[in-house]
Amino acid sequence: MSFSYNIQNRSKIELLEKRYPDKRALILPLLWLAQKQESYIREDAMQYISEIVELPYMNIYSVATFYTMFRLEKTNKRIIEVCRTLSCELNGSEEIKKHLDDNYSEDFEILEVECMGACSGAPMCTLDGKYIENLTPQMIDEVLNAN
Amino acid sequence: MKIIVNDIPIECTEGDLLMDVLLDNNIKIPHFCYHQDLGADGNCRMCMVEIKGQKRPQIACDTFVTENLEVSTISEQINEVKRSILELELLNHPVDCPICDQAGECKLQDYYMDFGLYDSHLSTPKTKKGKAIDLGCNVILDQERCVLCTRCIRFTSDITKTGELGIIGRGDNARVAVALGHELDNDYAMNVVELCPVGALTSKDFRFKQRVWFLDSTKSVCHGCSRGCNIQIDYNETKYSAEKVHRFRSRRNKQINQSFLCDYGRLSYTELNEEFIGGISHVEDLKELLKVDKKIALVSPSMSLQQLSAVKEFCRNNNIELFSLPYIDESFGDDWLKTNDMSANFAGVKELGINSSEEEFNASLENLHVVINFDHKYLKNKELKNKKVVHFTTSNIETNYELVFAIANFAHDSGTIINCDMIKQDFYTTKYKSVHPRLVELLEELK
Ligand code: SF4
Ligand code: SF4
Ligand code: FES
Ligand code: FES
Repeated sequence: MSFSYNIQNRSKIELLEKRYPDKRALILPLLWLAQKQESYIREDAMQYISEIVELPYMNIYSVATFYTMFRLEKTNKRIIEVCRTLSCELNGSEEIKKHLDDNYSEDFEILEVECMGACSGAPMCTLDGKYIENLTPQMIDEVLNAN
Repeated sequence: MKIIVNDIPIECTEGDLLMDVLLDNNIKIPHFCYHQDLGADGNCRMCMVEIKGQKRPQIACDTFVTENLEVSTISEQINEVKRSILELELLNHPVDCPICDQAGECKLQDYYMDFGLYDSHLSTPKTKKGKAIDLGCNVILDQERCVLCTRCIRFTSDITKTGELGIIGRGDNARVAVALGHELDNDYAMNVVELCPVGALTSKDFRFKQRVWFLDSTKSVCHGCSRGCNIQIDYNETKYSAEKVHRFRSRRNKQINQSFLCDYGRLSYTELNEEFIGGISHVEDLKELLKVDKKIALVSPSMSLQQLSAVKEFCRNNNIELFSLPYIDESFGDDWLKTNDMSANFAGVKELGINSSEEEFNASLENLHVVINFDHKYLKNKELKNKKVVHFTTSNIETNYELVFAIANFAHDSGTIINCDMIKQDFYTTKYKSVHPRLVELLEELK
């Protein structure tokens, strides 16, 4: 079935359209909503977005590949995003990433991302989009085994 | 008003782009992203100049001239700046010039020799990217050689408005690409090869055929349609190959084609390599035939004014009814360069008052027995029963005709043609001679 936004997202888009007089500016929120809806950005979603903003498909694809937070491939695993920016790095994100890679890469898709604005809880990661802060390897084991 | 560049005063107009002033005055100014027909983008920083009174170096492609602006393009400091920028551009470049088809006409190579000459500081492995990717429309992409100037991208987004090309990824990994499952697909696509300042985009049609430093070049005009786009014919003569013309490149003309060509016209150079091979008739036989009373001639509307005039005179002297019909293809033209009239000089036919009525031509053709064809495509491979046909041809013809005379094509003959906007343009002959005579010479012989 070809991509379309669900009813909730459609109403969100309607509000956004008013906020951005230049359609080009809609690309990011539209990609974001497409990813939220389907867990990744489908090719036909980008096609659909290109029609909404009236720009060539390549422009959308270009933006989608620029940002590491956008996923263009479907994964059946649950997603963990590990922050790799300064505060988290200083507080040991490297060790966290290694612990995750060594023990959980079979069952989880482990991604490195830039600062998610939770520096006060560094090092941090997300699981299914939810923030988990002040990480230690033990804590990871607890959380992931409980979930 | 004037500005001062490297201590030399230069005349220019208030508000001109410094970059254009430098280029128009042939002052060496390295640049990747700026192109006179694509405009400025300011992304490569290669065009840095020093401006008196400014703390930091400025890019020439974003600086407008003001009275007595003092510019240096050659100082020690500015060369150092250029050197560092170049080093950054080349950081991940594979430096495979010996096997790169752009070698010899590559800006990266030129600038390295001018300002670079450093040793690589890179201690980590270079980023690997895609090689020899077929983008479609005869264009091959090598992502590792790209300097991300976005000229090719701006061509597809701003000029053809087809938007096939873009940059994907970021930082070290950023690269030019078409989207998955998409191709470069427009009638002007091969311009990106010429726009690309480096060896990232090369032409499937031309690559690996010739080293560019073995080519000679002649100013000419495309004969593909009535637009008359300005071209360079790149050619050479090799011992064992019949092929002599290797490519057309665009030649800048602000009024007509800027720096662009359509792909059809660009590839029409191949016709120039297909000269007539076979037996050629005797001039005496033609003279004999001309004694017949009823004769008709059809002349190609792509012939030059000089050729048309000679044909016209020949026909008048020999009592021949002369016609010329345009090459119309309703599916060829578009709203940019290509025109439906695919003849190079139909405006010239009109100017010389040569009859171009198809109806009258067909009526006369019925009644007359001797038909002389001056390289017109319409009669080229047409069977004409019960008629004596004489062909003056620039190319091979299949049918057996009464008399055949081979003549030199426009790569071997200079002349003047008039384009669809009534602009008169000269084209010139290449250095090597055709084995066949020029039409004007041949007609001279027939006098
Ligand atoms: S492929 Fe060539 S024209 Fe296109 S961005 Fe790279 S260097 Fe520039
Ligand atoms: S538009 Fe016409 S004159 Fe120009 S390159 Fe194409 S065929 Fe030749
Ligand atoms: S640096 Fe990790 S959340 Fe800001
Ligand atoms: S030519 Fe001026 S920044 Fe590229």
